[in-house]
Amino acid sequence: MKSILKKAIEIMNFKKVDFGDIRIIAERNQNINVKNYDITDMRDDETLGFGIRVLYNGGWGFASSNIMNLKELEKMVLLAIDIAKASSTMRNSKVKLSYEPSYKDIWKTPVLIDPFSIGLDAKISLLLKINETLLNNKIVRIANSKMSFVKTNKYYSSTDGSDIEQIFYYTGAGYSATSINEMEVHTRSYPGAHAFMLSMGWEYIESLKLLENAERTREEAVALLSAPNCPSDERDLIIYGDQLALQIHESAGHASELDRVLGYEESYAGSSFLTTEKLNKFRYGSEIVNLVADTTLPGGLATCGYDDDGVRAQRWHIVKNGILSGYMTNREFAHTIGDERSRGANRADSYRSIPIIRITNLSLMPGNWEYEDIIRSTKKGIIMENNKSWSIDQKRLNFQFGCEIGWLVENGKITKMVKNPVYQGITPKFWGSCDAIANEKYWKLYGVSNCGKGQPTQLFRMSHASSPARFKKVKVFSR
Amino acid sequence: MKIIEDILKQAKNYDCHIIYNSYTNNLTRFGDNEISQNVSTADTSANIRISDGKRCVKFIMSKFDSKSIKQSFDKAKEKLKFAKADPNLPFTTRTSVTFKSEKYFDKELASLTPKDRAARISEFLNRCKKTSRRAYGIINNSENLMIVANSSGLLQSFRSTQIDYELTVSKNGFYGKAAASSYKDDINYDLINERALKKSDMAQKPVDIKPGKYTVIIEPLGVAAFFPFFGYMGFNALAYYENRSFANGNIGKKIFSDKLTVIEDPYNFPLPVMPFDFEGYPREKISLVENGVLKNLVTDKKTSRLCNMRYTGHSVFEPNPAGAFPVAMIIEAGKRTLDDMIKDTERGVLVTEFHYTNPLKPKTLEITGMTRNGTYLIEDGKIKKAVKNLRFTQNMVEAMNNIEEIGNDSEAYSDYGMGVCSGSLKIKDFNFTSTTDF
Repeated sequence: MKSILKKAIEIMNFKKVDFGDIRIIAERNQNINVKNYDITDMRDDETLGFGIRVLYNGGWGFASSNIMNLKELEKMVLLAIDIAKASSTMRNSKVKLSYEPSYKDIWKTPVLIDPFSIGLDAKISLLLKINETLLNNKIVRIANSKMSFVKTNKYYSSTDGSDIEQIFYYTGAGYSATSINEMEVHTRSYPGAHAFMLSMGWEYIESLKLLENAERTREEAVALLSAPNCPSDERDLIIYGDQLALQIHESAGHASELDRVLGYEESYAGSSFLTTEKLNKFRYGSEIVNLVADTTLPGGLATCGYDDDGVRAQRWHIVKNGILSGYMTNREFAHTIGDERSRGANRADSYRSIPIIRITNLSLMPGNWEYEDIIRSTKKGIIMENNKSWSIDQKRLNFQFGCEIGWLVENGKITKMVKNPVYQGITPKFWGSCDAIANEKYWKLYGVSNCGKGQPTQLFRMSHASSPARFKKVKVFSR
Repeated sequence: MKIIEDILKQAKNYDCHIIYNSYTNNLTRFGDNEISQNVSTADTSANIRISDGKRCVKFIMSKFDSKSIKQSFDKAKEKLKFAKADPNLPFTTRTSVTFKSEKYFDKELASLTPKDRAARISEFLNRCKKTSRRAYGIINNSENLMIVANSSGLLQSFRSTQIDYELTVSKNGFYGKAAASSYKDDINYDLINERALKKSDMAQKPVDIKPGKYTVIIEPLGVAAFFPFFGYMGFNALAYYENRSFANGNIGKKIFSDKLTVIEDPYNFPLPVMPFDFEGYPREKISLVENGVLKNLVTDKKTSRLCNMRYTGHSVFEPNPAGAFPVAMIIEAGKRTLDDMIKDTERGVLVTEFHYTNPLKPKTLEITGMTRNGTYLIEDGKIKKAVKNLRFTQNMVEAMNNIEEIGNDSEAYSDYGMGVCSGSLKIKDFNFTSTTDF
């Protein structure tokens, strides 16, 4: 490994590139999926490859391969330089990277129990037991249970002199029960529709209490078929967990990615309404809204020692007391907002991909409410849980989310379950209506494992922590 | 091929199925009139399934020296002990067919360099700079080799190339988009450039219109953003078996407009489509919808047995929990142009593209999404003005029943392995539910 890293930097220096780096990534992925007692997936695969990134005459070039020998390495470095030369012919100005010290370091996800040390039989047995519980009602037609474990060894060297080795663990499990009749299909999932993974070891699986929650999940899926529809009106909305994580992700996370803000994602994922002149001025949300990006957060799926620019992990505000206060940045774009250093949000999903700005762990900081008091003080409201559908416009303003389940809150009490709940809003108005956030007792971390961005599309992981929060007078309806 | 032979040697005493894939993908991305990303990826891997006749396991290999192949097989054989007996085995196609397809391979396209890609866009980016416009997009050329082989002597290969050009032009912050794909190096860049320019010019000073039901004309890019859900969630025999499809109770019935005919046609689709599925079975040309009548679904090996339907050659490396999908859906074109359709519209909305479409209800295919890159109000047969983007929330089965006309302006797009070729669709009573600020 070291010889490949060293050789790559040697060639890049010999070719006098402005900047160059190499990432070698060895990854082990174990996935098990059980659907209606069938083991529909049972994989344990390993991949290994490298990606070369070169800045030459102010233009970027990137080439990757999974053939691990010095001849292929040299070929890819030269290809990356050729690509960079072509890029440099069509630049408004030369790319200049912000300063970052060079590091020699090793960083590792802290894990208590290595998930790969647990036998396949124990994992399959648990997933089958969950299937059995979920299918213990004939109305449930589909039971899905899954586990995923990833170990990533990443070796990074740059012409700046950094040599960094990082070892990441990602561990996840979750399940869903789907009830079906002639008219409708309803799914309940646990621990969330998207959130099933964190950057931890097997101890995360133990903490989830998977079997203990299976019966409730099943019965809620069944009850949804006969529940009344969500009303169509304006009312106070209380969200948490998986759904609040996605709300943060879509309306604050993507909106604060600086490459989007500057228009470089316009052709695909879109841009952002949070344009740079709004920094430190724009009221994004109410005064109690504090959104903090943090790549040092324990358990976070974006937690790391260093990003793929070789920038050390950090914690910073995106929204402070309701005001836009920062962006997700990298070494290429940090200067556009007057920052001397990058925040370290540049990541690639594999050795095959060039690093781009990605949402890091982004969390809504806790307020000072007891959850019970939020309910008690709600006259006409609805609680929505677990995401079912999501959509937001290309500038991250108009969003619409459907959830798996809703509960009406009337005169301070949770009264009944409703099905097909949907809410819709405009981002700054919605966050501006946030009037209550539960305290740190309820603050919990949720993972997003399938965030797509870039061309070719890259899928990446990040986490969002939050406590339950209330938003006033939100448009809700049934779909 | 030696790699296939080496893998099969290791697989003796087992049924072995191999999907070997080798590709290069070269993508030049531009934004703000400059090249912002420029990448080349080369990768080779093999998806393998071994079976002892009662149970099976799948695994991926990316190193093909004899030691690595042996190690992968040793691990897989160990895992086989944990696999559950599957009554649907064997999956393996027991034929010794050798077949090679290079119909969609273009040597010139395969040799396109980063310099060539830059040359194709440089003049236009400079023009945008000079006229205070901004251009964003990609030019992407790829080469793909897929081999499906097994221990019964099956050996099928498919070699293809593809180029995609996507262009969004912004003038004063209002956007227009056009795109094209081909398997040959024959894209008419000038045509795409002019179309995107015209759309952004027409998108100036958009006005608010109230949400509500409108007649819409959805251009082919917009159709490609929602029609794949019909494939994943409707024409998929597994969704039917699990009673979560609009097809349940409706096969043979007229549930769509008689203007709508949809054919799954892997042999006449304008973009690369592998003529066999991932189990090596030939893909069939199938009538999915005929004059509004739901005729057939697509099946893989497993769902053809479960649903007692003909196996149509749409397996996705079995076993898999997702089912079978059509890969080359062609919506039969109408006879008139988009301009003719606009001329006949008293009041309506012309949609260039949809953004972030997602289903809410599987049985009715209730879908939501936003308009993007050019949304215009039609009045008295003319495009009168641009409108601010709108969110739709619409039962798409109902929308397909409300088709009034299909244009002759068919374009093909392919994403995540599913292709849709359609002309513009004119649909009455399309439900826009909210607006946005731009």
